[in-house]
Amino acid sequence: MIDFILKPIKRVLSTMHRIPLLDALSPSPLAPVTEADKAGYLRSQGLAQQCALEIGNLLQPGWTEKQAARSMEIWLRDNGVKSFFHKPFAWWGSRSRFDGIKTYKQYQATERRLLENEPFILDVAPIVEGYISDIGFSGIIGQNPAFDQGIAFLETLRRDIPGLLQSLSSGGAVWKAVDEKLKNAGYDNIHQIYPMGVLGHRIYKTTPKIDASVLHFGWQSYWELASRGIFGQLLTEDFEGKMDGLWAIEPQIGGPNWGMKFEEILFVENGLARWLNPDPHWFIKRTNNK
Amino acid sequence: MLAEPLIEKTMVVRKLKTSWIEAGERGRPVLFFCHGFPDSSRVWDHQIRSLEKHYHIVAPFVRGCENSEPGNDVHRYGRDAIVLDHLAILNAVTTGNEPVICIGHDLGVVHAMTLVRRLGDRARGLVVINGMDLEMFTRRLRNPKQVVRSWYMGFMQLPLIPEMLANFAPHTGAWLAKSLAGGEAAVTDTVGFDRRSAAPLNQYRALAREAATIDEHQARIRPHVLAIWGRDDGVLVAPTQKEWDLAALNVTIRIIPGGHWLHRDKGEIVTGFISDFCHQCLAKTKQGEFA
Repeated sequence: MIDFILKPIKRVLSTMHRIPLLDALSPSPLAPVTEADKAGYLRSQGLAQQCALEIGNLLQPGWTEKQAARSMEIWLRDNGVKSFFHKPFAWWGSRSRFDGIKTYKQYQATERRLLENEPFILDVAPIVEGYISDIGFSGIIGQNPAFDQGIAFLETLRRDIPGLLQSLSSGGAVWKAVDEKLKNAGYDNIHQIYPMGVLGHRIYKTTPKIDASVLHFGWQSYWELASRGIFGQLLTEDFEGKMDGLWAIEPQIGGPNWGMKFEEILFVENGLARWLNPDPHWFIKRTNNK
Repeated sequence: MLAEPLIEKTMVVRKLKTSWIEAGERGRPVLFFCHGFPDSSRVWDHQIRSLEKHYHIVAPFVRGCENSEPGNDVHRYGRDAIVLDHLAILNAVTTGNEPVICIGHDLGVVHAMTLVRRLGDRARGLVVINGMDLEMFTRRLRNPKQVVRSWYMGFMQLPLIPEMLANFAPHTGAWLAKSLAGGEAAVTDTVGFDRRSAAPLNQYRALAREAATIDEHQARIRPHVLAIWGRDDGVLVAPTQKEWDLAALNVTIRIIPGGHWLHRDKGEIVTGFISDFCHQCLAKTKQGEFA
């Protein structure tokens, strides 16, 4: 019954970008991506990953999520970032699998302190020269076999995702295939807890640099997704549209008291998918300095 | 005979040139000195020359001071930004394993306490000289006597006027600081309130913004703390054990005659305190970890 009502609404919203004025303000997600644009997205993603790597390497047991998130924001602003698709998130231990998170506000960084041997996630989406990127980093200070296994699983999944996109009939089928893979490996699907259960979302070049955010998300995130009808912008379980364009893909797995993820830009052109950066750095593993 | 000048080093940290004084051999336990306002790292001259034989000394110039380039925004003078500067310097000059003891004076205590909290187990001690962190200071503002003594912090929030005073009427600024601080050395010969302190005074603005969102109940500092206090300090009321017990687990307070710039007025005494304290803190380090 709900599908009966929702499907036509989604179909109408997914064609919003055909409205003439809106099309001028928010170009179609299927518009060609130039080499200059690809370089711009890579710069944006590279800066975000460098930020996560540097702050991740400073972390010590005892840091709060708020301290880490604030440090990432400062790092990025000092390196020229004026606005964010979303501001930095930091999740420690059980919060990295969203245990106890019921309201939207609870996703935001808390006073929870990092412990030795527990996985953590850093996630940030800066806008650099108009190019949005969105990255996710997993990390640990100390030792945890589950972390090593999780990284190995996510590395394999990362290799498989472009192939899944090419071989399967729809984005929804990719979502389901990823869900099956991680469940078969014994992990919980944590990305399905995100609003609308997204495995990824489209990213764009955005022009105005005005810095304003609501609930940790820059106004650009609401505009870029909503002005294009939102449903065609999110890689959900029932995504049916064409996948061409740029996507931030963010599979997140969970085990007892921990969650892990990677997030980076996937470029899809004429049905062929490839990671924009073939060899990114997306996890940190170090020992505690004592 | 004149002492050899202290060696100043620089590197670019998040797009801004950042400088520090470095002495002693790398690889040894680190003594990290954070100066206050209006001051520079040279205020630690006595301590650096006495302790460099046994330790690796790192004394950064706060943002905007001497060769540390000013920030383009007030947030660059806040605790979270300055601690990132300090961690970047530490990463550049150490292997990441050496134990660190932080020493702060005045506003430098805010930065030293923030650094100790971010260093985790690597921090082995904290020496505080006439200063405190933002949480403690915010609690103190319930004491009318302290509010009266801190009027100048409100003055620093005014746009442009403090900079004008520093640039065009440095003698007035110096006289004000001297009368506020008490003691013999009062305003130091290392900076004083003049054009060189115009940029670092943004620390007061950044801290006022941060004070609105602080967590008064943050975790207590675990490494041993030595609080040395000049009894005649005209700026800060002497601390109580109860006050420090809220901030740290293990605190020793020494209140001695002297003003706000105790490490200048009573250089030998303060250096002796620091030396003994560092020795005790590091003796707890596992034997054989350091030569």
